[in-house]
Amino acid sequence: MSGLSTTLPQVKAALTRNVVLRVERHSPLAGQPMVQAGLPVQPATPVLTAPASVAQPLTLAVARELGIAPNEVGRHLVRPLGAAVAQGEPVAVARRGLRSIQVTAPTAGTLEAIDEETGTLTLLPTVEQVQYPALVAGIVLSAEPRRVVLRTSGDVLSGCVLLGAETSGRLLVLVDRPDRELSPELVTPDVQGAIVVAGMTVGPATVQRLREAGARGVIVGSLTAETLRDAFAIPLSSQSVGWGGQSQQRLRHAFRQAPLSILVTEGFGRLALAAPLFQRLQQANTELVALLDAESVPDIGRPSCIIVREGPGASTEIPRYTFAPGLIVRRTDPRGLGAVGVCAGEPTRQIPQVGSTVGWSVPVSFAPGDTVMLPIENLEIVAPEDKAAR
Amino acid sequence: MASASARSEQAAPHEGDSSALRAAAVCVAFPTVVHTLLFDLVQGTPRFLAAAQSPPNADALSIADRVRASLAMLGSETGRQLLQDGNLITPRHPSGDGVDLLVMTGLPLQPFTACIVPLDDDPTLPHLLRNALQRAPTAVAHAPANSSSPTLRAWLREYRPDVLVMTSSTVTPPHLDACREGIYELIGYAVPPALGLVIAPDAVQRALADEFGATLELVGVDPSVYPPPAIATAIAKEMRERYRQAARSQLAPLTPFPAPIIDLLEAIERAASFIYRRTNTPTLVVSATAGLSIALAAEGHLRLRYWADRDMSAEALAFLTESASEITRWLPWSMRSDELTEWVLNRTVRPAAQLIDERDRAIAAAGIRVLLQRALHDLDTPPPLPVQLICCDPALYALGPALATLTLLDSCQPAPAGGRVTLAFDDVYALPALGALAAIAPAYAAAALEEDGLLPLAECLVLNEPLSQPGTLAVRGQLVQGQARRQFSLPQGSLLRLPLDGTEPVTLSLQPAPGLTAPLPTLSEPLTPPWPALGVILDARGRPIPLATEPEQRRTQLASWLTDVTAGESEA
Repeated sequence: MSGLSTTLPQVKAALTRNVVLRVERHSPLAGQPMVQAGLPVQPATPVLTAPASVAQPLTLAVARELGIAPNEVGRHLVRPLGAAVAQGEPVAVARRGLRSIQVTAPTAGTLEAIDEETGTLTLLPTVEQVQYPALVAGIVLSAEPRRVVLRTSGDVLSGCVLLGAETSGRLLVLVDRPDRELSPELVTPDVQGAIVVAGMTVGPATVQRLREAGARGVIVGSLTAETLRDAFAIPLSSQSVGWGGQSQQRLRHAFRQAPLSILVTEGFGRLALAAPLFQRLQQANTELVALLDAESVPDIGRPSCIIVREGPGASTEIPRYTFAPGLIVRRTDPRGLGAVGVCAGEPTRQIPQVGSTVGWSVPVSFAPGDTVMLPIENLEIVAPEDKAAR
Repeated sequence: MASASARSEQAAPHEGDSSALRAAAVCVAFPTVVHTLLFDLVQGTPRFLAAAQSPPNADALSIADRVRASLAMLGSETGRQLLQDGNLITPRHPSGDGVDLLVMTGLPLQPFTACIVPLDDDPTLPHLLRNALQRAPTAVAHAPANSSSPTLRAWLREYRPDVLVMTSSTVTPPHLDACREGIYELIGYAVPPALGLVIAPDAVQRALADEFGATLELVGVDPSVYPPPAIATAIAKEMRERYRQAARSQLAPLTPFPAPIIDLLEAIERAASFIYRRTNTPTLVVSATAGLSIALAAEGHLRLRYWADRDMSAEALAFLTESASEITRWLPWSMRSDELTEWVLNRTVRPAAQLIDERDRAIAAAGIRVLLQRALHDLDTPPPLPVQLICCDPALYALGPALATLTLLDSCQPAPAGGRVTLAFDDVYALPALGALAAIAPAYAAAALEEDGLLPLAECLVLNEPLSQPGTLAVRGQLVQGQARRQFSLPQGSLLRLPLDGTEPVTLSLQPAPGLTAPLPTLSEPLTPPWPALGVILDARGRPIPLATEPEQRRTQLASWLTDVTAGESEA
């Protein structure tokens, strides 16, 4: 109820420094935790293992294949129910005259059940197991079959979308300005295993080069539709089969298929990475970072880059701010998207027209002599006052 | 008028007795913002007093907290205290603090996702069910035709339906196995639907119940036993009730009694019914907040439909399911399809931002024109539409009076009998608020709706017939107000705005240009204040509206139409 002491909203900044964070590692299917509460973990420590897909039971028509009565299947099994079998291994055998007839397992799995009415055998295929690493250094708070919760600390840069899988690695800043586009020739061999800060954007050729060189992830201000289409084959054109359902969910699903992890901080098009975020990333060059989905950092609720920083002094509460003079903000409406400015005055309530709902607006200075009154719905707080970072 | 379920929730002291009701608050709630409207008696008549909204981009507020925040804001706006220790003050005090009644409406939760999986190749039942589900707060998705088992499994995993709807007209449906595997997939991922609807013969229902009855709540209907309209009505009702229950669980108690919850669609339906009965004119109500809702009341029927996946903000992704050129052809400038894609993605990931730039508004208006046209086609009522009243909600009105007017005219292409159509707007969600209130206190809501439900946006006079000679004179006319006379002429293919002010009645006369055979619209009586925001709009573009096919010509045409309607807008 902290938002009710004043009628102004209290919101988190895109850049939050030195806080204690809960990081959740999820598996879509139930698995086994590989750690216990209280244990320390490193980014590469596996914390959870779970099947890669749902095992769909296969029904083998054993009686028909062997030419036996349905209730005789059990007598012809090579291994007992519950036993594991390899792909191609016989599971049931019968003799017909001098010949031996057999039914083989179409895939590796476990013999699950016999249906004596139909004469069939159910084989539960073995599915590949996936291990989920911690991605951050920290302490295990809880471990369950689908979720392991970790406590870590550090700085958080939140973005607007994360393409591809969650990942971690050493940060590598390859551009000198937040409004610079990373070109393919600037991609060096040492990007292997790194999270690359690529400035304003990356084109399809650079994405290809980064993938070839083994980069784990990228942080950019923006991506163009061309890159989404040509580098990631994300179907965003009229040719895509109707989206249906709800857009946010559909978009997340489409972006998750991307073959390279990319945290986009501002939006789509050609938008510079916000300067305060870029400066913090420059300072963290070569440090370990993680790119995480919104669901994995519930305290933040947005896709984020975590710069892990262990040690005392971290705040246990995520700071929230109300719009006030000096705060660094950025615009979120499509036309003004990504423009970074400073709140130049107190918010005021404005009535757009008679009878309309009252809304809050705040003056924002984008440059000397360029101060605009903007509704607070069109602003995100980037960071507390830090004029040098603009 | 009130449904039994709505009344049973209402435990306030004035149940069934509108005369005891003085002040009412109605919360129109959406997942990230709650608008609250306050009504009270003014000289014995229920009137709208004020509206306020919760902080739009506040983090970590539950719906109940947003309701409280909007009530607190409303209290601050009106000087009335509505909350004490976080609870609603009720009943209303003689001092004016508190309210007698709190009603919830809107779409406080995301709509349910319903996936229709046909078990056979008969399209009749899926079509019927889609229409039924779209009368409830439901996002409907249809499984790709003839899906292989892996495709269907992946599709279901992606959509994670709250409701799985399986249909078959035959006892041995060919796609039953693929569907069974899909259900196993959902169970494996611990995302089983809350409900499975099986509209299929008894044998199919039993087969699915035997296999999944222990894991999944299944409801079955045999389509050979019940008539399809009865099935559709029952399903829409069931989905609305489930949504209401889900919304209730999210709302911490604000009052000693649970506030009645009327979903946005039911509220719009009630408001549209009232307006239609009251005005006896074909009426279209359009809402583009948290999806697209349309209520069309004409010829004694009301048709309501909701598309959860189409609007101008969080669901702007719907713009991309049309070809980009379908959208950009409505823009008075050139825009590449990639630019449109980027605009749509930015809008989708940051939907709360107000569109304050003219260019952004034009793009949103272009998209919503196409979505509205498609919606009217889906409703089997393609434009031109013979309606005499069109009402738009705050999301559409946020385009600005001129662009909102043009958007409604372009997409609905009203062609009313007599040539006169009234456009009205609702800038504070008064229409759904009063529609919801009507479920509890019908007389009170009717009186308030009569006074304050809608504001006039424009009185439009349209030439219904196809016009073949753009640029040549269509009509001449004269507007008379007291001693003042204004003469005007209007070429074919154009619009003309006549702003109105002053207090005296206005008469308008039109004369056809020589050779024009189209019937002219008429005003049977003088117009009187309050004046519509834009005044009178004369639309001489004919029907259907002839949008040029040559790009440059079309852009010039669109720019000139906007100029026609915008001219003198500051006077509005």
